[in-house]
Amino acid sequence: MRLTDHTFREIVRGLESRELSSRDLVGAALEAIHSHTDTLNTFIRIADPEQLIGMARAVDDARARGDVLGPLAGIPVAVKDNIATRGLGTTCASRMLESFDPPYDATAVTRLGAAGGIVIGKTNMDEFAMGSSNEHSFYGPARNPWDVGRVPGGSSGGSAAAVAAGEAVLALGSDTGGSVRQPAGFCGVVGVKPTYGRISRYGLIAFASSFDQIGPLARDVEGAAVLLEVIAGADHADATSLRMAVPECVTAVTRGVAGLRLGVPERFLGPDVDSDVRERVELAVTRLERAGATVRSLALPSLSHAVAAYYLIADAEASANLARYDGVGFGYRAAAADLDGVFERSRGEGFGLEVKRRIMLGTYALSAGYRDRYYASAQEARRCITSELLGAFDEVDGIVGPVSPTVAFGLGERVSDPLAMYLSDIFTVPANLTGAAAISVPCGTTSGGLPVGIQVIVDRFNEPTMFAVAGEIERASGGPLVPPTRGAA
Amino acid sequence: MTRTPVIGFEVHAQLATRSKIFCSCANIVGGEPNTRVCPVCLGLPGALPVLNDRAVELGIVAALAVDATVADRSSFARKSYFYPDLPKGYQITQDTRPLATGGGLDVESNGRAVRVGFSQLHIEEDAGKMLHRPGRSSLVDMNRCGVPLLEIVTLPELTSIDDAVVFAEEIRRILVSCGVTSGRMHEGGIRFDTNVSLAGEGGAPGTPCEIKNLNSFRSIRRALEHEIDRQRAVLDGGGRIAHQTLLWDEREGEAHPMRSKEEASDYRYFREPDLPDIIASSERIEELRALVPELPGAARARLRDEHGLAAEVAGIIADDRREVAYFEEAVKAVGSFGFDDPVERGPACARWLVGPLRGLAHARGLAMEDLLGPRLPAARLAELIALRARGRLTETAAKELLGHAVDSRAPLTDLIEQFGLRQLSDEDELSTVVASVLDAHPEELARLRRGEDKLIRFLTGQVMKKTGGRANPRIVGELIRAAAKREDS
Amino acid sequence: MAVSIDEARRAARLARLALDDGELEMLAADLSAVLGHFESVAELTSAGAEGRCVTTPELFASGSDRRSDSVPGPRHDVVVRQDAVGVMLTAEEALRNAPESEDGQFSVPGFLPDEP
Repeated sequence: MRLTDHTFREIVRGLESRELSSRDLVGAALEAIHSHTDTLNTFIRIADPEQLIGMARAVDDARARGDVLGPLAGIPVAVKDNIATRGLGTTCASRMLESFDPPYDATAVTRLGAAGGIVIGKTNMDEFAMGSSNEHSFYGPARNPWDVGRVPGGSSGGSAAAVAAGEAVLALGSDTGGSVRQPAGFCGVVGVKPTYGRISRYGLIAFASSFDQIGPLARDVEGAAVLLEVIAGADHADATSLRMAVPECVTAVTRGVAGLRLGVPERFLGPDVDSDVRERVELAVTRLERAGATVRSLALPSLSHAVAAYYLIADAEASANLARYDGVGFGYRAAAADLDGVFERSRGEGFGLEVKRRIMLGTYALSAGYRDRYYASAQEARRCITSELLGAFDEVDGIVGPVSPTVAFGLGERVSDPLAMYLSDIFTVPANLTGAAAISVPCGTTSGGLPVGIQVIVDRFNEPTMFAVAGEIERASGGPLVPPTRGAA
Repeated sequence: MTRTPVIGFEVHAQLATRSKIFCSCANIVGGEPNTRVCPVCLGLPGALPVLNDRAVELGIVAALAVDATVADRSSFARKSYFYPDLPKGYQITQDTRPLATGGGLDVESNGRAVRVGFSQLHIEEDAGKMLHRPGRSSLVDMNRCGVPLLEIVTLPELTSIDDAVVFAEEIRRILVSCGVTSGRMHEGGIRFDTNVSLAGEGGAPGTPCEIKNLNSFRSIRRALEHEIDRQRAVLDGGGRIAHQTLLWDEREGEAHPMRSKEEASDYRYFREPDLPDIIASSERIEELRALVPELPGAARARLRDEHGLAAEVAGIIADDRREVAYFEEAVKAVGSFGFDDPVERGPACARWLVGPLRGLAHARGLAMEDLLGPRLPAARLAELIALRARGRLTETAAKELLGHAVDSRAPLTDLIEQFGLRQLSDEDELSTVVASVLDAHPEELARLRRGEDKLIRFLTGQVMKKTGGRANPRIVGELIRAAAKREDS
Repeated sequence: MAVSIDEARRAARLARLALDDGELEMLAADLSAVLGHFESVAELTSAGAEGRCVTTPELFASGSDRRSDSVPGPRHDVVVRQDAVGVMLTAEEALRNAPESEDGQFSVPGFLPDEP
């Protein structure tokens, strides 16, 4: 069997009725991974297959006994390699953490395990989550299962590709400026960035603290909703986690959109969006109208400063978050005769180019003489954008548009033009800047056979409405996508 | 030209909490290196700080004790620099929105009242401890990393070394009496950094230099003397003072410029995104105000005015509010045991507290707080003092009784009998002893008869020796004189 | 806004990144391009932009002041810990990932704090 043969609900029903076993699922995952060795490069580390099979069998035995099991019991899950997993290492796809094994698990991983999920392995990503293509990885780029000459997106490229390619049923990624949603869009799967604070960041290796959120990925909306409910909720170990009840996401998926008011920002369907992307998105919007939603246009002029505000603040926070990688307590240490050498060479050799670029940008933006012009202005802009975007939710229940201006681009195409890469984050960064929740749902493929993702943004705390709209989009477009089958190589 | 010193301080006091400021590791001095650590205080990737509420409470109590204004909202900031004892590469401290602002202290120095104003109080985390070994690698122990610190920044208002030392002693005394810190300087419980400049003609400000690592009042005095001399010599020689940060070496009595490059002083402060604001409602502040005890200055004045104590004695007792409470309890009780003269009650109790009781504690290797309270209730000491005042015991016997009173719960009268401590005043009993002493010292008796009056003391001493210090010396003296006269014919 | 090589060098020093001249030149150019594009962010809050950017206090957990060092965040209760001791790591666990250690402590090449 292939994991891509079934929806999430079918898998759960199959397990419950014992038509499917966890052994089947884990076996299918491992087989898919094996068949994609040399092509997709989705995983940095895979758990010991014997142990995985053993865990799967244990779940199957427990189910046979009639034990009460968690909502993810026996389901293979991939975890992005910037989320701490004790015993499996956590590299952030960086030489800096090549041999780092944390003495603890991230809260999200603990909750995943408590729900019965089986962690298959750690997925490839852009180094320290800095990138939009998964080309900035110490372990080489991951590739898009729809076309191995193209990027899977980033930074959670490995997680998105793994789910799309049937190497896992569910995955955890992280989203700071779009890093779950954009790869989800490029790989034709569902990816969520929850409200900031919805999911504990304890154990998520920090990139930009006031933006980062762990996000679920799945082939379909229901799978993403179930995973979100499992890992969300207050955590005493994270002072920024929301002290609020986890909202009902799963029941919202089938709610429908009758009476919902949706808005499309003018620039979200402007000339910088590829025509085939625009076509798919407009079609999805039309279907939402047919299903009972009203759609209007929104102005939101402050969004033209969103990318700038995002990069200046995120990179400033990152420059501090990555200061702990100094060769002393953990991580890569270069050979050096003196203390300065330890610091400078370990960091110079341990970090890849994009990471260094962002640290430099962030350091510069905070440095004496430039702080007011860059960092302080960006904070003011953030406040303005937040006011305007969240203010729009007085008039609409959701904001829709493409998740990215283009479909997945070719490997090597953008990697030497950082500014172009940054500017393509225009549709995703507003949610991170404002703390709003957002989801990327596939809405068909282009004539070239590549998936297009449509994004739905909702007000903070309003995940249920987001899942309602996403569920409708998915139903109207005929259900989850399957990439064309590939033979070996 | 007279150049007036201008001196200010940064006081760092370790807060007396059970656990560290951002994690639940134990806040204890010492221990095997790196055993009081966790992912948070080690700065491991993915770990997050969570604020210890007790640290805020103690900070507020300290602020109230010095009449500072507590902010209703304050926030933390990241202060970035690279050093091996700083695992995150930044310290979480407070910058533009500290816990409290203003406040100050009045002290008395060389008979003058001196006012020192404060600019702010804030809380922050301590760094780890480095061990430098010339010619070998330097080592880091992270046990101290994350210990909560209170920092008080004074305005540069002190103008003499004496004033500065008096201030340092008093601020320590206040913080200890409030229970904010242990104040044990040899353990690093309270540390002082000082900044000093020399003002020129007409008060033209000089360039300040900072001296760090002052762990005793003696170091503060020596370092200030050393630096003021240095600056004076430079200025008198026509040179200019360059701003420097110096590390004081108590052993050598020298200050060395600290390791730092010019760029290191750009700390790139920004608000800590991992921690919400500290909220201090006015209700909470009022609740905490009740925890601010009578401060040493007020206690000193009261002991002098109400109880008639000499300044120095009052100062010793007022250092510890438990001693003040104990003292007052004893004074109240001593009257009921027959100590009639109300004016002398205070001085008598103080004398015993400051003298023999302290001596006993020292001899037994105990802290005063261990002796006061259950081991020697105030009323019991009061009874002893009254017995002495009424002449039932000699001074020597009373001191001996003190030791027994601590070791046993038996009534004092029983102990007096048991150890034969009653002062001998019975003339018949004493006459026998006097006679035998005079028989044993015919030379001295003869000299006494010839007019060498001072031999009364020697002979009295011999009688005291023979009676184990229990004889009433006045009566012994009278008996000796009478005996000397009688045979004088 | 051009970032000079010297400024790039200064930023690299602040960030303790060893970069050779080629990398410095490239990064200076990258920073110039990116920051040049981002200059306009200051426009948003310049004269003429008021009214569009009304900030309402409830939106921001960190207070309603417009000072540039507060961060918009979600509404949540102030979260603090009670003052109790919890589980700590053993020295072995603490040092397990350390590249160099000696006598139970993290080790770095020797230096003295008062060496310039």
